[in-house]
Amino acid sequence: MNEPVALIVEDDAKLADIFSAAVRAARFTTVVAENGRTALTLLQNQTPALIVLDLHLPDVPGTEVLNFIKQAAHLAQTVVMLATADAWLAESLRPEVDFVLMKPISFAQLRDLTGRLRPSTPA
Amino acid sequence: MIKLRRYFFISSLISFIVIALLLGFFVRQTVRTNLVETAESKNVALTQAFSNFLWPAFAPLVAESATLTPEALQHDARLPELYRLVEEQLNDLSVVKIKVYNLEGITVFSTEMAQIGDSQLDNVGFLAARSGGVASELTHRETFSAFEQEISDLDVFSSYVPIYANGSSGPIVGVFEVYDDVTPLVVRTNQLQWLALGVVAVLLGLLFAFLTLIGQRTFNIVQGQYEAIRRNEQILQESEEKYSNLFQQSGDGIFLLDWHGRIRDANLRIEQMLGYEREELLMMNIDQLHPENATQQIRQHTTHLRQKGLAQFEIDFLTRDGDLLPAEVSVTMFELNGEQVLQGIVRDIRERRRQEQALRHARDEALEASQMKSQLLANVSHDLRTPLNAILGYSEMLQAGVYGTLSGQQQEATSQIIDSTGHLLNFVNNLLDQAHIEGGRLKLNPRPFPLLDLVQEVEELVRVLAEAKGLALHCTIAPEMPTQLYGDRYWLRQILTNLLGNGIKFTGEGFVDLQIYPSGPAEWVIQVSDSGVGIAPAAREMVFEPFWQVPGEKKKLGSGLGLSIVRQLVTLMNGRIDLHSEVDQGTTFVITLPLHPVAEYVG
Repeated sequence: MNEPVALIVEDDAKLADIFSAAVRAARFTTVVAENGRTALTLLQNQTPALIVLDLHLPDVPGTEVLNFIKQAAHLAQTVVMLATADAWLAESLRPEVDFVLMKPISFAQLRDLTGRLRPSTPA
Repeated sequence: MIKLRRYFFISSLISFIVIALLLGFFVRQTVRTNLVETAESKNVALTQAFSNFLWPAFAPLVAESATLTPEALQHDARLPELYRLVEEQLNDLSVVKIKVYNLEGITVFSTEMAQIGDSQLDNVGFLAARSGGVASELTHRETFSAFEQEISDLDVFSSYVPIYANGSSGPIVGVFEVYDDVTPLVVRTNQLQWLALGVVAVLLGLLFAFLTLIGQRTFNIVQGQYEAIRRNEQILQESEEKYSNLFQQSGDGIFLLDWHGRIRDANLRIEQMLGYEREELLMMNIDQLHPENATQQIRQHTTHLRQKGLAQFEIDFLTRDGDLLPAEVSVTMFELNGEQVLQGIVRDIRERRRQEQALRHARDEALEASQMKSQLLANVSHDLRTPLNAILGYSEMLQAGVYGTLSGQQQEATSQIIDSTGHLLNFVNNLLDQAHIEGGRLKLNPRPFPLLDLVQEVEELVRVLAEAKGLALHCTIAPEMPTQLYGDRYWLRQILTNLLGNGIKFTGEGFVDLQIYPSGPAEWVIQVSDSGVGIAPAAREMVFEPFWQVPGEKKKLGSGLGLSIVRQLVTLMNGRIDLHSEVDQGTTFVITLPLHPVAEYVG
């Protein structure tokens, strides 16, 4: 049985590395998108179980990616976690997503949280 | 006015006196005529009697008299007999003297003997009688020679009466003169005159008094009206003066125009504002004082003025030098000498415009600066947190053994990195929050949220800290609390984490408690208690000041901003914060906030 896939959308390579490590530690397979456009391309035909989405992206706004996710039928079951340093934007988007994580995001917290979210797959 | 009344009084008095005198004169004349007629007819009757009884005795002497000298006449022997006859006839009468003349005017007989022989030919009375008339005269005599003696102070009525040959017919043969004593008659007549005069005077006096009374009343009425008119005139004059002063000394420019826009008057201020002399302005039309593009605007305001009676607007004037003068104008209309006139009050608003522009400029600059500051804060926030996140993340990964098992010292060093990063993060967060609040730009963004969710989130955040110090952490929500609240979740979380973080920081052992419960129909309470060092009474107000630190504390425990931020947020949320503390016993913060259950806002 394959591990569930998590898409990490984060332009900062170090943070992407840390988030990937934390999510991998919770036994997800991770895919990293360094910008919004890549994320949108990937999401056209992939259905990750989890998306960690940075709102502060260099090309397209994170909110645009979020809107795509909310409207895409094949992503209805996907758990969405916002990762942002922008507290006010995060608060306003809280009802739209499953989790809001305020940067700095602790490795341990992310690992434990995603661990709990891992879909229970039949053995 | 008083003068007028005096004139009236005096002139009417004079008129009445004149009327009285005329009336008196008329009465006197009437009475006298009456008296003369009465006396004359009496004398004529006497003459008749004389003719009948005495003439036969007198006729021979009269006939002869023409031939006699005056001396001969005086000494004629028939005279005593004639005298006796006359005396006899006239004994009981009031006649005091008689004379008989022949046709030549010679006194043939007189009761006063000395006069016999005198000629009366040039006497008008005699001549009238000789022609057939009767001539009479009333005279007052101081002394008079009557039949028997001299009498004095008497009124005598004398008549020349013709004597006819045969009674009342036949030729005139002589003239008879009778002197009748009419003193009693004159006295009675005079009495009558005085009586009449008295009555007339009394009547006229009464009339005068009555007239004076009416005159007085009339004058009072007229005077009242006159004074009212005077007063009105005075008020009008004062009002005119006031307007005139207002017009000339007004700090605002004032125009008077007709409906064609022709300038009828302009005050000094207008001259100063526009640079034209008043005389020049009086030759101009108001259109000439505005730039061409204002014509349409003026038409619109004129229409408005016709409809509403008032127009207020801002418009540019054109000065003599060709400069534009922005002004605020207020136009009203009123009647002046039966003609409708427009009054325009013009206020120079150049200074106001300048101030407005400066204000706009300052505001734009401030807004720009504020936006720049916001942007800077957001960037700083992002740029600080991202590398901090990397430090924290990698340290945690090291600690978690992602890169292999660490030695004891490596573990210790990694812990120090994580710990310090945590402090640094906390400091940065508080600093950013404080900057945000101080900028006055903090706007609460209230929306519905599940209370339990918030409390769990905060609990999870601070539990690590509490457990690291071995403190018991209890978070309880009273069952009476609504599950959904309406508020700014982000800032409520800041309040909770700051208070709980503070509690943990200053408590060495024991517990930190969070209790949330309703305290009234529209209030709820966040209560955070700890069993820590407590706060000395003197410091209780200080703890809420920004950057305040526990005095003498060598190891800085934070930014000194946490409680300051909490209090500012509570104030923003229209709540209040109370502090109960005993040194070495612990501290309790009680925050009371208005309760907005979400039901109020849903649907």
